[in-house]
Amino acid sequence: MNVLLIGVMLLGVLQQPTREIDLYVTDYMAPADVEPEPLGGRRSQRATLFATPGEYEPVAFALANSAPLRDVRITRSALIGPMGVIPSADVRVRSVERVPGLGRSVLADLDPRLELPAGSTRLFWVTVRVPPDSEPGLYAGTVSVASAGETIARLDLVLDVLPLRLEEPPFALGFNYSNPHDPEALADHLADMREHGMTVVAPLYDFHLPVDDDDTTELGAFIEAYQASGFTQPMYFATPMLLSLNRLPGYGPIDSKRFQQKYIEVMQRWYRETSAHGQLTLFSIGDEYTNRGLEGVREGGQLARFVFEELPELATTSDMNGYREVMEMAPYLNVAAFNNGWDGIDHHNGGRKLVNERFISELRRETGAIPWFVNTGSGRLPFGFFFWRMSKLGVRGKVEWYYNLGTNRQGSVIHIEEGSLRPTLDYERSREGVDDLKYLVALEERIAEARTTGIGIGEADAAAELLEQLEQSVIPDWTAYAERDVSFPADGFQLLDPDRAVSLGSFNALRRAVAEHIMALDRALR
Amino acid sequence: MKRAVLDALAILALATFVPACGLSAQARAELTAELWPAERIESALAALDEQRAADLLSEVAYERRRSMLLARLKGTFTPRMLAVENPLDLIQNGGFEAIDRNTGPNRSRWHWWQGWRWEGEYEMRWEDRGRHVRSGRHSARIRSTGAPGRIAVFTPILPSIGETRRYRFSVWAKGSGENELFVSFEAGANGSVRKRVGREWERIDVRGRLRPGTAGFRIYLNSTGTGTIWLDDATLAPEPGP
Repeated sequence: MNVLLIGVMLLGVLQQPTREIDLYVTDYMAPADVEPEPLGGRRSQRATLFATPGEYEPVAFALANSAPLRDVRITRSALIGPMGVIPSADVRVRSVERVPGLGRSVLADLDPRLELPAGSTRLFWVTVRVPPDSEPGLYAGTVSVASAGETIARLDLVLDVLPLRLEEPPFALGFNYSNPHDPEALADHLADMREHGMTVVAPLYDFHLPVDDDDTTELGAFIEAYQASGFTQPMYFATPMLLSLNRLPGYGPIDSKRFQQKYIEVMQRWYRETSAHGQLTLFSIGDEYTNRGLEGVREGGQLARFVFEELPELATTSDMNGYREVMEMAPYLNVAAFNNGWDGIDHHNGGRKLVNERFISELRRETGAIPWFVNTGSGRLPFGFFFWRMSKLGVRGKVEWYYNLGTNRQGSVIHIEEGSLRPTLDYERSREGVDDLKYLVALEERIAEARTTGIGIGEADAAAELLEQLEQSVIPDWTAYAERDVSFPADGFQLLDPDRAVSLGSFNALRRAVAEHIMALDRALR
Repeated sequence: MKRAVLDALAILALATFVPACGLSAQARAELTAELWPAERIESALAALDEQRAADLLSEVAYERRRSMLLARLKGTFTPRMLAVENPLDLIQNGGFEAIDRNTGPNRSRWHWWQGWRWEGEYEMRWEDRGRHVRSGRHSARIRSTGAPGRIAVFTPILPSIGETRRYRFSVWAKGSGENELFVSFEAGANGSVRKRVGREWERIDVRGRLRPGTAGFRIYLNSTGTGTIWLDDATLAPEPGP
């Protein structure tokens, strides 16, 4: 701990609340619709973070006041350390707001002059973007709350910039997406997804269907923007599902010549456009046939086999939501994309769920399709530790519902207000999940390097033991978390350092353990 | 598939089965040759390599696709899914037999058909009481449950057949109460009938004509009254004439 940090902390102690106001750090993983609890059960005005250069890292705090507060202004300082400065522009403070109709809370830029009625408790997030060129070391700064020109509360921020860099994980992670028909908005949205760690986009609604013409320019424009934004994973093109869903059924049943020839024509038009841009693309051909009972499942199987035989140059998938549907279609698809599944209205699936080890093993063994998740849930656990656990079973991608559905319709992970993007907490937490995944993959890569070079074997063994314990701690069955209220990390989890869990939160305490093994291996390897 | 249609198809099938098999095989071979020039096969093989390298194709799936394409190259592949014929009727599920139970009463309850309610209070549901079913096991029932407005089942976009501009849509209907059935060609074609239907089944014929410059159309079956309407055995066929 250096003199600067001690100074900052002492100043914090001396200048804490002068009015009936209570500021304390909370857990940003906690539900936003209940009274916020102090992080780790201890009231603190000091938030501790760690991150790597280029990473975004949040903390949350609550502000409770017994007396009304007028003209409240919240400001933040730069983060300063011996190795440099992280400008205040990279420290963003936003309030948590419930948006009617969206069904979720979002982060909104601060009203420059807040009015806080007596007895209110407001929740805020501070998100630090660590500039990519930041030097490792400790940095400190503050978020100050003033009312009528007088500072009434302060949050101290202490950031530990780690001496390592995270790479993009080798998985396809992203959201379904609607065409905004505005190149600037498109670029903004794609940049935002990249900043949230996403590696793939799944265009679905509002893209032109070249059925009555051969116009594929919208797709071409999207691909150019996709590539310019730095996405490197194959694109997940979900729009083709609309052909079988509602655009082409008037041409006849799937086993009619008119339907098939039109289907081939339209798919080849899109394929030519993707090929012209050198964009490897996964075409999603169907949408949740389970919803239509066994008759729908049979139809899905017919379509998949037809596409397999007559359009094998296309990489294909389908958004599936039931056991029989997946087993019917997957033998003819490159990728089987599925959620946890349901029985179908005619109960044809016998209660079988899909996002679990047993089914994924069966799927790979019986069909040869590569498993991806689709619409299994956004948030930190689904994108992070749980996905990592399931990647051990061969899962390679995850596409979620939905980035920008309609005009701020429920299900969207962002809320667009006069062009500005307000992220939902789920979306922000999804980024944390992807970051967890990056740390885990980074550690796996270090261990592999140590094993290959024979250097740092002791550190690699210790790291491998940690990963094994982590792997065992994640139940490879989404039903446990989604329907049986199992929490992660489980209470009393042996890898959780209690002190760290109090100051960092339980997820970050685990991440910190992973990070320390990475750093230990880096020291040994270099 | 309903009584009259089944009878007609059975006779047609018996009369044409043997020669049709031969014709189908020939037609399939010709269509396959047209769809699969050697260059396309070579290009598809290269695409498989790219997919495998990008982790989009497992080894098992790669080998399966590759074997199929190599068989195409040798001319030994027999397509099993490629169709060379079209159904006689342009309407699918015209008897409303295939039910989609995973739907709400203000939407279509039947496969293939789409549905929407604009105003008023209605309920759509499959009818299985024999006295309200003209053929098969089901008909479609649209019942007013309150204020009048408009509810409809409608077809997907139906593409025109070649140069044909005229079509005849038929549906059997019966009703009770102050019902009103409004059948209309929409979205690219003109032609409609609006009437109150009686208690006995009657065939409603509507002739539609494509508007210039359009390649497809939809047909809407609207209920706009306050009674109940039953629908069954819908068909659509092209008609001669400019």
